[in-house]
Amino acid sequence: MKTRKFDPVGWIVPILVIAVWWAVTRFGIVAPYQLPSPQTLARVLVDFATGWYGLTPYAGTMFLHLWHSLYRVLTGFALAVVLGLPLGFATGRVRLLRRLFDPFLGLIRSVPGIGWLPIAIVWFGVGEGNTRFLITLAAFFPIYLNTMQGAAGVPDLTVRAGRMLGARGLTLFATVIFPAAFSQIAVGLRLGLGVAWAYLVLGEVTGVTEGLGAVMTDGRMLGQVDIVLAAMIVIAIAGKLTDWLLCALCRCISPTVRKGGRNA
Amino acid sequence: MNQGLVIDNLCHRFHTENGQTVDALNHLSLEVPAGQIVSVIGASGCGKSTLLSLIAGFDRPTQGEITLDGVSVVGKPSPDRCLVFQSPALFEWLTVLQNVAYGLKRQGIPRQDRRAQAMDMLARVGLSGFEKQYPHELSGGMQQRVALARALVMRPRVLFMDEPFAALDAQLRQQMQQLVRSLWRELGQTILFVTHDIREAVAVAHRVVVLTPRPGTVKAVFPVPGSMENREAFLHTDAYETLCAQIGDTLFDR
Repeated sequence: MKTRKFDPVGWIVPILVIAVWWAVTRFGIVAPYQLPSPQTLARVLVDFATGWYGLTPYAGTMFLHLWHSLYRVLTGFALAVVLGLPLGFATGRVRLLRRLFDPFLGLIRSVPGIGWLPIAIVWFGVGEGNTRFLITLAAFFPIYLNTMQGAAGVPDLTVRAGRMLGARGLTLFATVIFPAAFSQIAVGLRLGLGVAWAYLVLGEVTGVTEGLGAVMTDGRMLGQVDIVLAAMIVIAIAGKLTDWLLCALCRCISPTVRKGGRNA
Repeated sequence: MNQGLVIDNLCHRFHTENGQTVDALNHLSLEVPAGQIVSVIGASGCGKSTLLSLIAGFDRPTQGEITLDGVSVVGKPSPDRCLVFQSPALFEWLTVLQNVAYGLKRQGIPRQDRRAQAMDMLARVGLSGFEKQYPHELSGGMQQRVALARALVMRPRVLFMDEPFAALDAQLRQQMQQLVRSLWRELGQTILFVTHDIREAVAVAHRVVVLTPRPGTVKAVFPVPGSMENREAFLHTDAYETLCAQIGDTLFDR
């Protein structure tokens, strides 16, 4: 495993973007209500987290909203894992079950996730229920599909080697089939967690009172672009951090899973 | 009870996915006496792999019996009969040491013991110092050595080798054949060695069994003269060349 080296070239573009951003706000090319200056945004962000300056109605509420959002993402994602893993293994390993379930699931998948929003609101109500439903639904498919593919792709010879060396039943599954499929499963988990964050925002903007998506909707309606942008940054950081934690967890489970998710 | 492996009147017929019926084996009888190495050679598609799959217990034969030391082993995979496949088929997520110790762990052997046994077997196949590596970090020849150690450490009553060195280059193949002979001298391991390479078949075995094209059955059996201790020298004699030519004539109906 290679450790990533610091590469100064990668910083050139972000620094340029911030410089241009600073310039267009400094010289009045873009109005502050459309785009606050970088330094304003930085202050709003700090204020959002700490409440030191009282700049927005959301001063000091970041962790409350982050906690609500994180809770929704993690519960929705967990439910998707609980459904996706067993189903993926079942359809990946048993031909009859694949014939039974896969066409139906493929049919459901052909409806874009966002297309479920109206019916989810009818079924689960605005807010909590439909948000979690959308997250689970969206995260389910990458997890299910990658698990199925990983499970189906375990080489026959590897399974035979396990049987020959005395593993059968649950032991064969736990010590051969699961680890052999795991690098592919890890890819699905990461993709699933990524879309979980995306659908969190979709669910939350439709009407919850606490959560980063709610902050963004309210901020837009109150004309406070700065807090909208601040919430976006918090989501980006939270998404990155949870992805990083998930990767670390995956590497604990299987040391040969690389950052890219494939076997090294 | 040490009769070794006895294959009696084995027939196997299977259906391919496009509905064809294939007779893979036809009344095949074969013995591998305990403590000997028997090579099985045949043209490709003569049912060699089917035969191994049946003996290993992964499939059931249509007809016939397979006994190991007098006990039927049909349809029962077991560490009694370990296979070294054409490709190493190692557990990619385990280290070399964990790969070799895997079967011992399944038998509930304590950690210290299985580590000691695995380390010993790794030393015998010439891989001391590589135990902490992962399979993908090793060359093809080294991976096949790990596969060999993983099977041998189980001390199987019969070890099957299914064209184990087919993917290796010529020089490496000779080294590996030498390794098989020296392992036999050290462990007295009973081996059924399947190959399509006549010279290899003779180089590692006490006797060479030639199969017919599909449906496979035994065409002829050639004992290899001399002991395994003198095999290296035998490989440089005219007698070796003559035997190989003879086997070739039988194999290809010349």
